[in-house]
Order: sequence, then C-alpha cells, then structure tokens
Amino acid sequence: MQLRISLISLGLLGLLLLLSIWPGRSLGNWNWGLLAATILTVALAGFFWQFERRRNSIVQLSFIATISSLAALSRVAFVPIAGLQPASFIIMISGYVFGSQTGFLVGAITALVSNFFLGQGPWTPWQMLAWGICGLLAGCLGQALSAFRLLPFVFLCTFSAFLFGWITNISYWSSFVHPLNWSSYLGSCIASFPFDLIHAAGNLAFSLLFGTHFYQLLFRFQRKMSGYSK
Amino acid sequence: MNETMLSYRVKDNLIHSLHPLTTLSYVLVITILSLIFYHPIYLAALLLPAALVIVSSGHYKEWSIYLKLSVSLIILIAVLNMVFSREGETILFTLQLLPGMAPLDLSLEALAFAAGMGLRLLVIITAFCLYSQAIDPDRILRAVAGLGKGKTVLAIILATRLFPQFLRDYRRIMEISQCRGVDPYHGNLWQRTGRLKPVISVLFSSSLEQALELAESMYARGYGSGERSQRQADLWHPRDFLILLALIIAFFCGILAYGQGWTAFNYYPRLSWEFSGSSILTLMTLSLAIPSVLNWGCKRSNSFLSKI
Repeated sequence: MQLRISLISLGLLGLLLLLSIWPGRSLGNWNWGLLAATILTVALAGFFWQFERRRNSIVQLSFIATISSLAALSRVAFVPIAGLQPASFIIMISGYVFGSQTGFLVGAITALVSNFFLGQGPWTPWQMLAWGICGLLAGCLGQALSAFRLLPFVFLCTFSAFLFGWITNISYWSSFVHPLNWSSYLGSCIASFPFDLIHAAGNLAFSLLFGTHFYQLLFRFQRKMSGYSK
Repeated sequence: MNETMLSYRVKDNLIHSLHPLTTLSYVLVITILSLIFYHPIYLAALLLPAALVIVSSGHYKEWSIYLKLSVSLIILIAVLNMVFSREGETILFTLQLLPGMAPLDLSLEALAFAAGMGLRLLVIITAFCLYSQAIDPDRILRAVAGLGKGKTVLAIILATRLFPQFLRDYRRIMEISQCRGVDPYHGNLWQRTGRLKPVISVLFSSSLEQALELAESMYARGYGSGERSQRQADLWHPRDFLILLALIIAFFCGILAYGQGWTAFNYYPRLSWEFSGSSILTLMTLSLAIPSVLNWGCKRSNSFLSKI
C-alpha cells in the first residue's frame, strides 16, 4: 500500500513536471512552486497517515526513533564537509532490513530531527521526501533479494545520492526559476553535481565499510525484535 | 534535552510566549503568500513585517546567518534564470562562453526576474528562520500530537530526545577507545577510518540495545494499553486570538490582491509594471506587523503581557 502511495505521488509529481514543459504550455502559467509544495505535503501526510493506521509494536516505534536519531547525529557530525551525508547510508540499510515503510519513516524523521539542530528551512520537506524515497527504494531492494548482497546495495546507495540531489533541487527550481523546462532543471542538477558527487562517494565508502556489518547487526536486532509480542 | 544544541533558543518575549500553532500559522501565511506573489513591492511588504517580528523577538544575529547562507542560493537562482531564459527582449550583453557554442544573451528581464525571486527567497528564509528560532520543537510536537494516534509525533519526539544522549555515548566510547591507546583522531585518513570503525560499531549496537530498553520502559508505563491520554500543555491566550485574527485579515488581503491581479508582475517579454491595491497592501502589512507591535508593547510595559 505504502509503495503504491509513493508511486502515485512520484507519478503525480512527474506528470505535473511533464505538463509544465509540454509544447504549447497550456499549464505554463500555473504556480508550480505552490503546486509542488502542496503535492509534497500531501505525499508526506499520506505516508504518515499510513503509519498511523498500521499496527506497530512499541519496539518498532522505538527502533524507528533510535535509528533516526543516530542518522541525524551522523548528519550533524559531518556537516562541515558539504555534501557528505552518512545519514543516507543509515537510512538505506534500515530500509533494506526492515522494509519500505520503515525506510521511508526513518528517512523523513531523520531530515526533520537533524534540521531541529541545523535549522529548518523550505528545504526540510523536500529532504524528508528525498530521504524517505531513498529508504523506500532500499526497502524494495531488500524485499526483492532473498539475502544481503553488498554490490546491489552499494550501487543503490551511490545512485540514491544523486536521486536525493535531483529531488531536493526541485525545491528551488520550481519556485524561483523561469522557464521551467528540462534545460533549466538540468542546469540546477549541474550546479548541485559537486555536492551530489561527494554525497555519492560518501555513500559508496560508508556502504563498503559498514554495509555488511550493519546489515548483520540490524538483522540480529530484527530477529530479537520478533521475540517481543507488543 | 541539551538546549544549546537546538537551533531554538528560549527568550523572554511575547513572540516566544505565543502558542506554537499561532507562530506556525504566521510562518505558513507568509510562505504561502510569498509563493503566489510575483510583484516585488508585495514581496517586500511580506519581508518587512516578518523581519520586524524576527528583530523584535531578539533573533537578528541568527537571521543574519540565514541571510548570509541564502546569498549562495540567490546567486545560483540568478545564474540559472539569466542563462536559461530566452524570453527577455532587452538584451544587456551577449556572452560567448565556448567557441562553437551559440552566444548567450543576458536580458534585463531575466535579471529582474532573478531579483524578484531572490526577494521571494529572502521572505521564505526569514519565515523559516522565525520557525527555527521561535518555536520550541517540543511544544510544536506536543501541539500536533493529537493528529492520528500520535505515533509519528512520538517517534519524532523520541528521536529528538535521544540525539543528545547518543552524542554523549559517542564521546564516552571515544574516551574509552583513547584510554585503550586507540586514538581515532591521529594518523592518516585510512588509519583514522580503521580506528573509528569499532567506535561507530559499538555506538550503533549499544543504541539498538537502548531501543529495546526504551520499548520495555514504554511498555511498563502502559504505552499501547488503551486510548492515549493527552495533556494540554500550551494555553491559548487573547494575544494568540488577536494575532490569528490579524493573520486571517492578512491572508484574505493577499488572496484578494492576487485575485485582482495586483500581485502579478510582467517580467517577460519586456519589463513593465504597474502598482495597484495600496490600501489592501497596507492593511496586509500592518496585520502581519501586529506581533512585533504587541511585543514592543510588552517591552514598554511589564503588565501588558499579563493583560493579553
């Protein structure tokens, strides 16, 4: 269900972006900044609503809080190196082991909590969505593979760094740039490329260094969690 | 929680004594209106009262940091607009970036649009600066805890609370590591990474253990045993209603001006502008300035805050 919601949200975002650059641009005068922000809010609210509806054990709840806090701490610790985000790796390994919904929630909460310390901004909801999607994709990969495979995980982790940049770029591109077309969006992606590259290199290094070990730790913890009934 | 780590700072003034949902509404109204306005005068009319609220609440220093950080983003916005916009008719100069490439026409209209959007960014940054500095994360999370079953909010509150604890744990593990003669701060990058790896692993596994202890503790306190009880920690005061009323007026003024087309600005193809709706604009600005006026009143008279 949560995967369906995310795909619908992403599809809607993509459709709106396509409509905005369609020849003739009948919808070119729409306020895309406001529209994108509205869709983003609805998408995030949809995920959180799903989480509220689902029966979660206390251990799951405390795990999500704990891992989000650790990811937020890692982000704050590495803030002097612009672009380096160990939080991405922690979010994705959690999503890989515990599934898409947990991955999304850990990603979204990490962005929000770390910004309580770094400062909130118009970028916060976009970071919540971007990291949420990274966690969700890792969850999908975890479901698709029967056992842990480092290489696909490393590849996804590295690619997700660019995906994170591409999603967060929409925040200022849709609100402050004219015209909204592929060229200007590509321009915004080129501008963020150095930071995305550092992010990707960091994700590659963290997943190679800690991937297998963290997976084992989390997998053991998951088995331990299953012993708790509530 | 270690308050010095949060970007929020406690201050003794009216802005900080408002209900968190009132301040949040203020931030939202400013942000939404800034996203629908294109006219620089209307955008400046949003920036002015928001800046007054920031300054009167004692956050000028933090605001100036936000403004400095936004300069790089404003430059990026200007470059993107000037490079990719081809709709402007008043060409300022033509650039030949690379031989063989088509020359790049930089127009006055693109520059004006970039300036207008830079102003919009300043408004939004100012609004979010107010959110960061004047809203206590605990209070706002408590205020929205009633949404749904409160599980999401609880997870966010727990994550925020655990943050300083994990930082202390990290420092403790580092000290123990150094006492054992393994110093992750010395050596080349490879050596430091190798020494840091066990520290991070210990922190990670001990944190997971703490997650279990936390869950047991919550279970022992009755979490999940029935309907969740809720304590109303923040009271609504007359000042909240006064400011909310002012926000409703400001929002409707903004929507009215937008509906009349007064907030539009013709950047393309040729820069042309007119200004209408001065009375609506004044009413909107004054309404948005109400919190700073009330705060000024509180500074002048000690009893004023208790009255409202």
